[in-house]
Amino acid sequence: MTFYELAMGMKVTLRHLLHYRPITLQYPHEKRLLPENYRGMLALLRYDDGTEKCVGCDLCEAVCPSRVIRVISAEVPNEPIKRYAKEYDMDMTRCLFCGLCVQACPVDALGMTREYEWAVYNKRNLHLNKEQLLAIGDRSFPNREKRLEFQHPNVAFFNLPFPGQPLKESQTLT
Amino acid sequence: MHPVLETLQQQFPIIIQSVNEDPQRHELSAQVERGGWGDVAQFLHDDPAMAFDHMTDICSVDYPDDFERFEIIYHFLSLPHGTRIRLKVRVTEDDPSLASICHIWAGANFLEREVFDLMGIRFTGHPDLRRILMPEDYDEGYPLRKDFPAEGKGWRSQMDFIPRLDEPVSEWSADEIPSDQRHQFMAGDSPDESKRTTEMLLNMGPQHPSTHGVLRVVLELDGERVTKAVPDLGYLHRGVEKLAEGLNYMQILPHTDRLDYVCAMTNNYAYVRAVEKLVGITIPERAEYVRTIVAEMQRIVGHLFWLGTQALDIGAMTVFFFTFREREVLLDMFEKLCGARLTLNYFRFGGVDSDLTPEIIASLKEFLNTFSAHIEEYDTLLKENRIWLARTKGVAVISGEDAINFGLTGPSLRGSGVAYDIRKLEPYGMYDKVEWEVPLGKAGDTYDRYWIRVEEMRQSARIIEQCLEQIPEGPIIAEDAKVIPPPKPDVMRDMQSLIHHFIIFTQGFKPPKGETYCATEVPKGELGFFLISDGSPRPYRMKIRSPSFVHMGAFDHMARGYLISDIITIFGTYDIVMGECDR
Ligand code: SF4
Ligand code: SF4
Repeated sequence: MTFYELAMGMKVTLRHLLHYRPITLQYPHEKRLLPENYRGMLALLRYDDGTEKCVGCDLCEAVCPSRVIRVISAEVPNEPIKRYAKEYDMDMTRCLFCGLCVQACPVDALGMTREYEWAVYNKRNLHLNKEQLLAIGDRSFPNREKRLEFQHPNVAFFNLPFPGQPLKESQTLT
Repeated sequence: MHPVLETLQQQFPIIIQSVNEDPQRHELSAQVERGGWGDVAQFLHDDPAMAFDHMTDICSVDYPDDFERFEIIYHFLSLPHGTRIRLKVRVTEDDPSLASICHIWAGANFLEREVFDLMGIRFTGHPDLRRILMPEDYDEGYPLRKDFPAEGKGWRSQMDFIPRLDEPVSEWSADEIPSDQRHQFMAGDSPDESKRTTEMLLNMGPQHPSTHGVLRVVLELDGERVTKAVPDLGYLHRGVEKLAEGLNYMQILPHTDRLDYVCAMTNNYAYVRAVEKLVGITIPERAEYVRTIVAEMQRIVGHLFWLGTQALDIGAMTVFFFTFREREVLLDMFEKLCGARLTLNYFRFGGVDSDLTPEIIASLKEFLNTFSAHIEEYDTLLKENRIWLARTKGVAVISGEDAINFGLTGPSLRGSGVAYDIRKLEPYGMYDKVEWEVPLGKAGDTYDRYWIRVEEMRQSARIIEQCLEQIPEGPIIAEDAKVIPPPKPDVMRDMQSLIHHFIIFTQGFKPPKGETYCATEVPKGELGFFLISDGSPRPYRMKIRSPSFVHMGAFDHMARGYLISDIITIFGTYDIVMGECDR
């Protein structure tokens, strides 16, 4: 009886040895293909001409359940009806990756990338500013959306480029 | 008026101060005068016309401006009649005490301790009234009172239990635990002197691989046999209920993912249902189907997780690999559906976040085709496995009456042969449109619960199959401009939508004044959300009735008399998750 059970058990083992079909991945060497809508690291996006999408409306800050985001918005210099985010900080140590900020943003200025390898030695490295968030957006979303003014007349007054706005080339992730 | 309320009023004309039947939500409630609470409770339990044998929950609310400041709210369920009732008792701040009902419903023990811990209500006659979620020597007050700040009193660095570098080194004493504290876990049952000379106290956890989180159990042992087992909870207490009072309804949703983190879908479902019941939203049909499908997928995931880990804890490692292989397939589908694997945040008020794509439906169908063969595979590994039988048959036995008395729900209750499944009793989603059965056990031991969970996976697969056949086309989210954010493409094109979008995301919506309890069958049992709204965009009070917490209340009863090695099985038998237990 016991030997029979042992033999049956070994049969399964041998079968799997011969028909070797691994279901695991050798992680750092192989990586999973993540779906498009994966909720990973957050990033700020730009339009195809390099202008920032964010209009500093503060909705993402208001909706975030764990107060990750801090936006300080200001008027675009010399253009009193247009606003932009003068400062934009995220403390990613607290983020729940719930995606509510992305849903709240009226101009789709926030995106969730497929980046997940964000382990750091120093927690303070997870406090990101606007330049860093834009840089993440640049490397994760190479295909940018057309600027809104070309999409619909109602929204043309949101988000236009302004003199002195930093351009993409000068920004690197520090 | 409902006959239950009528009888109550006739029986206790003075003690019952008022009764109320909520016509929309079909809920009964009664206000009880504090002095007569013990009698009313006894009557509710004993009278055959009442027969409220199942203690669901105890909640406490603080109204700082009222003369009788605290309200204690009891939820009972009558299994024979299928009615729920809510009873409220008010106590004053000067004398916050109330008669304990532990001797009537054993399940009230832990729940009363929780109310004492978080709100400071003293229950007279309670056998062991100690703090339960907060540390036992916590002396900064009662966290759920409204005058207690949500961020706590003082920040971590000022808490004196955290050592600081600038303070003097503490003296070593000969004995770390003073002798008067040694026996605090040994209260009760005096040892039988004739048989043994010493009794051993064993700490199990909080860091123990098979406690599935951080649970500590203080075992009192006679040789290898457990004579008493006292669970020490609260290591994972994050104060979700307190946090929720400062968040608007939508912001609470991602926090519910983190209650029972292996079954986030069903937590979302339970919470969303409670809010929908409070606000009164009807959900489009397709959304209901999608919800039912994902909830059942989550049930399969939860039971696979249970089966794998329970077998692993007992020593059968292979099962773990097999079940996690299938779990992975389902998690991949969740990932395609909503972009996350565990913390899903998929449900929305009035519907769901994204639609099932044809691709997901195809892979789900393919999964279901092979799934029954996989269940057979687990069966060949376990069903007649002699070690599995020896370690689960007759372990953690609880009789039907005791299980009801302790307030157990879900597979833990059905293992003892009590047919209580919320999906049948109060059907929601599409559960009344599809055919399925509730598996019931006989012996009330771990093996029966194992069998039930495996059978429930088969039934879940059956439900999903039928839902996939019936699912109609249509919208996946209801339209209600005040509560549900308008579709994104409209936001920047239409002024009205833009305004609603801004209002919902900045302030949140305002449900009507009122309160509601909504129970949902999650893989572990009955997960209930009790919400009190004062008309503001944030809940005045949110109480989570978590099955794991109530199940831990029965742990001592079920563990006594077994060997140390069985303790692991007994933990596992409830399918306990500490994130939900400690909240
Ligand atoms: S994903 Fe959620 S938690 Fe993270 S920043 Fe956005 S809203 Fe806040
Ligand atoms: S990211 Fe979007 S929501 Fe946040 S401030 Fe900018 S425009 Fe507003």
